[in-house]
Amino acid sequence: MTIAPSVEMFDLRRRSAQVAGYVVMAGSLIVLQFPLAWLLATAFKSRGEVFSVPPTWIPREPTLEPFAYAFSPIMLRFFFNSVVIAAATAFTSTLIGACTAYVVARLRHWSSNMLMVFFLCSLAFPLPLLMITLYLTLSRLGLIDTYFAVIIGHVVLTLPVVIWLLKGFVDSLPVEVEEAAYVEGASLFRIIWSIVIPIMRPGFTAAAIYVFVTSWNEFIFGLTFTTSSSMRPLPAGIALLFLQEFQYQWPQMMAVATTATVPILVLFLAFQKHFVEGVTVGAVKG
Amino acid sequence: MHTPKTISFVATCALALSGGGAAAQEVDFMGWVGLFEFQQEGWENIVASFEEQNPGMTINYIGTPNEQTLSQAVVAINGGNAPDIIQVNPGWVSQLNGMGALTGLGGKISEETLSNIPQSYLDAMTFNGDLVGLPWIPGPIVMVYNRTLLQEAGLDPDQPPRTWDEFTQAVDAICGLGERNGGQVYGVALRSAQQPVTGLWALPLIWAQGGDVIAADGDINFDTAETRALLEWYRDIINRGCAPEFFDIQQSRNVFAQGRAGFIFEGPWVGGIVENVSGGALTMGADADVWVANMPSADGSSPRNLDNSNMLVLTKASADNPAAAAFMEFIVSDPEAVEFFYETSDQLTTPRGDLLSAGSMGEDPYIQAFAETLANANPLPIRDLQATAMLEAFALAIQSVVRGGDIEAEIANVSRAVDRLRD
Amino acid sequence: MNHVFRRHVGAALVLLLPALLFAGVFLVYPLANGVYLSFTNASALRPTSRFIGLGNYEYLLATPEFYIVLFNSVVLVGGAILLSMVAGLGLALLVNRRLPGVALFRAGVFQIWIVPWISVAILWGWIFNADYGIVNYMLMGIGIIDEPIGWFSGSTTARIVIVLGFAWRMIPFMMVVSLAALQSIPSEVLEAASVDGATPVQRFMRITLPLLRPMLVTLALLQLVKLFQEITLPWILTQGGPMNATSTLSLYTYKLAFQQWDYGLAAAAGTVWLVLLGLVGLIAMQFTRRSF
Repeated sequence: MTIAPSVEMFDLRRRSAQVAGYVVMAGSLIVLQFPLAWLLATAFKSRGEVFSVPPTWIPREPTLEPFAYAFSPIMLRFFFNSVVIAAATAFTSTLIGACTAYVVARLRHWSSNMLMVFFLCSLAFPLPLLMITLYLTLSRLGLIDTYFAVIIGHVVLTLPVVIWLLKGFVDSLPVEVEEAAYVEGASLFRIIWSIVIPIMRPGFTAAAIYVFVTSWNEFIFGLTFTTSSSMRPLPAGIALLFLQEFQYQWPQMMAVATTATVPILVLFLAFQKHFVEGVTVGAVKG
Repeated sequence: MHTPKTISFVATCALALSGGGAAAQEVDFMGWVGLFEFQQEGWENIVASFEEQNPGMTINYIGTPNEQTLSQAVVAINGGNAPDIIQVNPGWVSQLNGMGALTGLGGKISEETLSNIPQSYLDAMTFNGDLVGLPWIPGPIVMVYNRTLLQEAGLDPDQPPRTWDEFTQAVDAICGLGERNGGQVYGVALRSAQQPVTGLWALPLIWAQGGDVIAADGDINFDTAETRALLEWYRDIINRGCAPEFFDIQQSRNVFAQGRAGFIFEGPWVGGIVENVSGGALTMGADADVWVANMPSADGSSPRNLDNSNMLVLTKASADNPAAAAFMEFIVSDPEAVEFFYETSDQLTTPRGDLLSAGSMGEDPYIQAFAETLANANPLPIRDLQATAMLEAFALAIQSVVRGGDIEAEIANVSRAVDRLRD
Repeated sequence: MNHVFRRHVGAALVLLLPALLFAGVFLVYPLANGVYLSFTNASALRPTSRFIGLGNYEYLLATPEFYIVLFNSVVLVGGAILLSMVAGLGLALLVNRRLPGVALFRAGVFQIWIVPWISVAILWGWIFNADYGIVNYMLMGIGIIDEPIGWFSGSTTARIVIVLGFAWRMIPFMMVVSLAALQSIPSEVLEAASVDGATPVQRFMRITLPLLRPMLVTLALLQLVKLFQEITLPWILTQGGPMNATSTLSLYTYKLAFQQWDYGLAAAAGTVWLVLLGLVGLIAMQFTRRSF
């Protein structure tokens, strides 16, 4: 190119690129959000309207009746179980993961690298294979059908990811502050308590949210390691209790699916900035 | 930031510890009875009546879908958390008993109850001389047919098919009707999904060819001419479009209840399901829309209905819990609860002959029609520890053959699986 | 200057101890014991078990079902990863501009990654329902098909449904990570190429893609490992049928272990799975190394 484009042409090109950008964004958002929109549309329909042809987008006679099942006492119990399990898993995984990540990041020893590689590989360990022995061990200890059993399973799932996520986070923090404090005579405990923990807080949040979401969504440990309705987390509870009775009662099923999804979405939206950064930093560095 | 998490963790530990043990007067009941809308009211009434009559006793119902109940029960038993009572299919009793999980019913159920239950039922639940299962909702699997469709296809609805050939011809005639009630009409609402029950419900069809899966020496044997004939029949009937492809139980029931299938093989719960799903559009009756008859047979005169009753078993966990045995007997024997369950679910709700012929059940022709088919009911032939897995292998063979798989190869696969599972 | 831990190795070990203990008890031991069980006839239905050498492996490798299941895992997981990478990277390229509102769009897409698998499964069963599903309705509306497709009764169509379900939940993650990676490419590099007269396609093929390749390979590998473990979708939607068309290695192994209670055979299937993934990992690592 020998002739520089005029300012107007440049402007015009930029504007049309912008418009195209928005069109693409809107289009892909519509396609990707479509199933969720249909989920909501169905959840508020009556039994008759759900089978009407042509299907309606906005329910003609919106009803909350399907949600009566979604908020029945047993479902609320599943909810409670899931909250307890996810919170306890988030706490445990983040705590163990933070200790490990901090030491590994700062020690820079060949053995700590080996540990990181081991945890990465452990993500590929076939879960059903691990579950056989976990199940045998837990049942020998009489711990099947307790929160503890499910929490152990969920920590197995999440701990490796948390360690990697937090190690990336520690790596990005300057080590000089800690060293300066040490030279000035601060104890190791003080350094960790007053310097490391405060600056790692965003990392903790990202890790805890990741664990909470994973635990909330997990199905197979909840299905296998619990045997009573009072201990079952939400996904296993839904699968066992609701799929038989409501197999062809779509509004009820959609209402149940909606109530399983909304709390975790709200949590995610509240923390999404930390979360997206935490998860992508780790993955890009990978 | 730390405190709430610490509290929740402590709370978790406390709850986890308290989750295990149950007080002596609590009864844990695991099964699918309360998961079906048509049975829910009757079941809740049984629980409520029992609790009312026995102050201090509490029933904890653990809902598990039929297909998942066996594995959930085994998980619970191995984990030391067995429920007291489990609702089971007949084929599972051998497995649970083989694991040493069950406790004998001798001396726990009154003579009055036992003497009113057909002996063949009790024999089927007796292992090494111990009665370990109490029959509950009787379930002879019979031929259920849509009289309207039979008539439209030019067949006499008062003379349903008796031989296997007549049955197949009727299926083809109905299938030729084309579209009815909002869709293609199937001759028979066969189930052939990838589930063990597909194999289970194929067993009476092997009988209907004149065959059996138990050889003269007592061994399980799928390698027979009749089994081959049945596999061919599945392949042809599905590929002709006269039976749906790979429907599961619910799908096949739905299509029948919509009036879009001439036949379905079902138990006494079919009435409640048909009326519920069709919203009252189809009614049961000897001169109404849907009625029942014995299974077709090879010669037309020796029908063998598979008995797929719901059974109740007591686990070892309930050995020192008298409330469990009391509740179990109450379920099948309390006249009012049994009657109410019948009224709300439209099925036989007890195996006791005296109760079946008394009260409003005794006057209901639908109940009596099923009660008559009980005479031709046969227990599940496979009494092996791994019966369920064997049946799943046969279900898979059905699907493969429908899709053009080689019958000999599939029979060989089933035999191989049976050999391994029998070990 | 050395870090504090150089002088306080004891403190470092104390902090590492929980993870080491946990890994030992709940990862290493179950893995080792699992591999051991694969050489026995252990079963929940039997009180005792004995060593049977390679018996389980012999049975497994002679079972046609096992190969179908292996094939399914490769096709379903591979298809979903390919689809979500192409779509995710494509979307990321399209919105990789300094536009106001991109953050909002990113959040809108990313929330799909949060939807529980159980909800995806229930939802998928409904939108792909043969009689009343919206997908059949729309396809018929625009004239692609004449009569409803029974998505779950055909092997290929059932596989398509599963792949779409996997991919739908994966696309957002792929997009967000690709976008972050794209934004980490210095704009001077691309501008220099642009001045040299390279077309957008050339710029993508010669500069962007090679720069992204290590990230993409890592991402694909991580998602591969993750999706290999995924059970919920086929479990709820198809139970692995019809004819095992959607039975994945994980569902098959799980069913062997916890429905047939055949620990030995399940452990053998799990061990084969471990070895195969290990090989894939080694090959993929060679691939990333060469790209540097």
